[in-house]
Amino acid sequence: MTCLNAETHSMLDHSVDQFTESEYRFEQRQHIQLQHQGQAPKHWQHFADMGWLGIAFAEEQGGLGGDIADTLGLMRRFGRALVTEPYVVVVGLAGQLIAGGSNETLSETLLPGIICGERRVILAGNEADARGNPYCIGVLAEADDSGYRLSGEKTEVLFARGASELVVSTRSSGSWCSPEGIDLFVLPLDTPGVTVTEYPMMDGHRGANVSFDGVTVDASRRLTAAGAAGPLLARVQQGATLMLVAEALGIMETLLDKTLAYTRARKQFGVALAEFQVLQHRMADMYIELTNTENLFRQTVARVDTSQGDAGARISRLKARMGLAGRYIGQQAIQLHGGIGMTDELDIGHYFKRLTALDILMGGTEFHIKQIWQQSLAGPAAV
Amino acid sequence: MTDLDSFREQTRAWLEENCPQSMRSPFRSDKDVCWGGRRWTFQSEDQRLWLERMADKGWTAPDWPTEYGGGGLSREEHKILLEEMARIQARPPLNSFGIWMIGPALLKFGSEALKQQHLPPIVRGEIRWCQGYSEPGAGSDLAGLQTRAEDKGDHFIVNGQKIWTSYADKSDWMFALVRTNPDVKKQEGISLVLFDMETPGVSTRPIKLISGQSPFCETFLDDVRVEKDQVVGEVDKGWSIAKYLLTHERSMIGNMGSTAAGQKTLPQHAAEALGLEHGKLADPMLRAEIADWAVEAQAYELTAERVRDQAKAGQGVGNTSAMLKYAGTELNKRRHELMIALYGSDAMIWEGEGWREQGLPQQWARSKGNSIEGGTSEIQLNIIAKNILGLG
Amino acid sequence: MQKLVLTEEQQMLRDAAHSLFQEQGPVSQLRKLRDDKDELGYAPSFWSQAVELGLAGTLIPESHGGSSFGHVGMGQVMEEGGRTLTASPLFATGVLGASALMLAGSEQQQKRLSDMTAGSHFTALAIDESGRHAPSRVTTRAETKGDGYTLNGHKTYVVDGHIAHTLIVSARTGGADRDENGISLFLVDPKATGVTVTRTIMADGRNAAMVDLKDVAVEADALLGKAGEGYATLQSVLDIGNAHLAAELLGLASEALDRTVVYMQERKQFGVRIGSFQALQHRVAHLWSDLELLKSCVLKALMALDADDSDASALASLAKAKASKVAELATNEGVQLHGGMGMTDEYDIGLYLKRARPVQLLLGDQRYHADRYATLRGF
Repeated sequence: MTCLNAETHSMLDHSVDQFTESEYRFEQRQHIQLQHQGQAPKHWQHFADMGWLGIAFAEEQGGLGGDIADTLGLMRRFGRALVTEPYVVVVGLAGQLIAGGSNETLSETLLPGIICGERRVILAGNEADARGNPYCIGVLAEADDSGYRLSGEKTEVLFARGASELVVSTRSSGSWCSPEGIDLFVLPLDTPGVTVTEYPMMDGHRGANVSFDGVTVDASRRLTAAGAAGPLLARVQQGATLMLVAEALGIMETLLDKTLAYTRARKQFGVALAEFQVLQHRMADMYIELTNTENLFRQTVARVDTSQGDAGARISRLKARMGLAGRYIGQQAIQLHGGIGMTDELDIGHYFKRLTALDILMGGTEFHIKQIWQQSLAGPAAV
Repeated sequence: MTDLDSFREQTRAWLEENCPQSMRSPFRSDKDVCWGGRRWTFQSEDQRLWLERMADKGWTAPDWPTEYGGGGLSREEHKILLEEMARIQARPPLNSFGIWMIGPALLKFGSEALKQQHLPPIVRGEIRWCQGYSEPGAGSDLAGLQTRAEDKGDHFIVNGQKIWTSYADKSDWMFALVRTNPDVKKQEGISLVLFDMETPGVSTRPIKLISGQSPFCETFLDDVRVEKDQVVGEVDKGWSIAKYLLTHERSMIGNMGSTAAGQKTLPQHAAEALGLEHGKLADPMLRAEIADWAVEAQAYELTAERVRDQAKAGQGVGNTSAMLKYAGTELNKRRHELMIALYGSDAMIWEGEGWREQGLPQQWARSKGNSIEGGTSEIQLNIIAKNILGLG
Repeated sequence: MQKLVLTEEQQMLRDAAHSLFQEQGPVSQLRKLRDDKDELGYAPSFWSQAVELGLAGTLIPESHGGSSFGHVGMGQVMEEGGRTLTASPLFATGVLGASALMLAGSEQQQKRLSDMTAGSHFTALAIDESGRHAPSRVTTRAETKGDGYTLNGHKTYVVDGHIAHTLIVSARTGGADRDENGISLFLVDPKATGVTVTRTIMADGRNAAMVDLKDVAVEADALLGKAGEGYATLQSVLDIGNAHLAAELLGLASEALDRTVVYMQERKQFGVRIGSFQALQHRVAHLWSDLELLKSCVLKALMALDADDSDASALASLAKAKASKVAELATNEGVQLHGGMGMTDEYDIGLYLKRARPVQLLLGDQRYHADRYATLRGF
């Protein structure tokens, strides 16, 4: 369900299209990759000026009063242009966790800066053996007199460069993958004991290992009641997953369009590739995969309320479907482009790599199918 | 003791004496491979010695005739040599498109003069070769190539562009398919020519892939002079030679489906990544997919073996190279997809110190090219349908 | 290492079997047996020819009139029989029964082998108790009674159950329902008091039955091998059975492909032969590729059995798993590519579809065997 009206959506879509058409053509994107590691300072400021950073925050907090569903048009357009700015991480993950927590002081302090583009807060959630499960947390938060001591390591933390703070998911009690006993803390990246080691990821985004060694943090930096952050984490994760699927749809429809155009233009054996029946059927199959995913996406968005946290099974189904469709469409796009599809110079391979990354982020297809399976064993009402 | 037995004894003794210790281990990386050529810098004195000694015996090309520098070995002797080398884990002294591709073509189709000119330097690893076949407009439809060779009496002037030439920027000579007659059916106007990469007008540019750096290059030919005596076989009759070489190339690429000796198998990777519960992989969904893959993998290995055995016994069907290439490359791609699934987000790390499985996303991205290079999977299926099933 | 090629003798046996099945046991024979609701479920005219050719004794030693030709040889026969869908007691008797007796039979029990070679004594393996093959899941009980036993239980999908002279039954003398230990094998006379054999008509029109055992009394000499230790023998018999079923599926799938290609070369639509449509060409080309992969697995498994190779179990599961997958694809594609005609009873292709599934499921399908292969390979 979206909160903003149709006119606002129309304006948002239009403004994003304008941005991507003038500032984010493929050559420009490649330039940003080389010169700015994928994050151009002027772009983030533009996002703030256009109000995009505030779409999913309440008006009292300085936002537009919409929710995650209202960002999906923008996300799809970002997918079409392969935008590598940290929108999902800052707005969809860290920002939503801060806004959705019970720590009003923190949200009053941090949100205005996030929305106006001055402050970038990221999420350190993933760990080496979590395999997509946000509850599998080994980073410990041990309470002592002054607050908490954090220890452990997070992996594939995205967009640490240029970020001022991070939200970290920690475990204060309970077993490794228990939904209870989880705490979220916000702390500056330059806190003593926090070490960041960056590296490039396959899709052009930048990741990092963030280790916590004797890091002390005050209880006032905790986002929820003690040990009770599990439900908030799950809810926000679900919303962010929708954003990733929207991005993936933008990529998939672009790949199909480009593949159609290429096979119509490229000639071998005296005819256009698009004349060969096998390739026609292949593209028809790509279209079917895309349409199925699109339909499930619309249905899911219509039925899910991202302010609640009960959409797990629906979101898992959508994510699994997206993963399968993405693998097929990405794979075929490369295959049908032949040799040049393999070159770094052409955009196809870059779309394909990002699509693969989107499958893995927030749990891959196998993870979500298992989730669906477990839920279906719990009974029909659960699904 | 038979002749073969004494050959084995002698070979074993010679290897023991002449193969340097550091050459008695598998390659740890691509950097260890010796390609030879005019511009080659040896990694070590041992690498140079090993090449020199094997080349002296002609054992870089063991089954080539001795009059061209080859080893002159029979099939059985060649097999024994390979077994004895494997026994001490002796690495091949030379990787060479000269030995694998243009050499066999010259032996079968080349003039005596060309054989004398080119084969001995190939054997000695002095000249490094590259292949100029595909063009931007001629990929699957290779016969549609347009690089033009104009007849100027005692030589040709060649203009055009080649693409996907492996190691062109490091090679000394090229064997290329050019159009010598634009007025006949396309397959009937093609010649296979040889020229030095130092010839004026030859330039190269490397191609970066989605998997990162690659050996592929674009090669530009601007008014390049090629001598008439450097045509392999006859003018306008190069297409049949090309087909002969393409079948060979297919088998080389198809073999990527196999796990090289010393490499971890997919189930081994899975056991490390997922752990075992009661002796079975802890993730039932991935276990099912890996079990299915493992069945296909052994079926492929057995088929490669059976095709070889049948060929030796004089049985078997032609065009199995198309089937092996198709099955092998699709198998390899599935393997890499499963590796990504096994390592999850860790598999997305492009570069990083201390990460235990280096190069995963690069290898995965590179594997997508397997079903494209050397004839796409779609082309292989066309070949099977047409030549074996008699359709179309 | 042995070469993956047939010897001249194996090739000759294959050729002889080919002629026999094509001439004496063509597909039309199965049709007639089915349409007539034939009592026996096989044609004695075919069987007597097969026996005369020595096929029933392919695995049986010369001491009992057989030829000890071996598994590769028998596999060629099974493959050729798969092409013509010929109904015969060859598998249940000549493969399963013969193997069980040779592996675990006493001298007295092995006396049957001569009649089996002569084609006059039939056996049937009765081991499964549910729809999906689960050889260690045995609830049929064998209680000791004096020197003998009393059997109680129910067996399903007993191939050739209604024509068998000897049933080979797995029953539990000890252990819990799913234990491998405690399983025993018994030779049971179907005419004995308490044995009820109910013939079932399967989708493929071939012979199978349910067997009920109610207080069936057997003597001590009915025990095949040692009490409680029958599972190892059973697994060996199953490995052999699966390798040969894989061979049959190879023949079946190959024939399905051949007939499909012929159809594609003849059938015209849109003014051209449907065989000229690239999408269809690719589908059959893929099938051909898959069949080549299967051939290698089947041959390797059969050779491993002949050589008593320690890897034979894994290879048998490899072959059956791959064969099941390929047969499923080949028969599905066969019907699909025949279009509407593929759905008619008149066309033979549907018979191939209906024969493939029961054979896939008999003694374990692709899922069962992929799982077993993975377990044997250590993961």
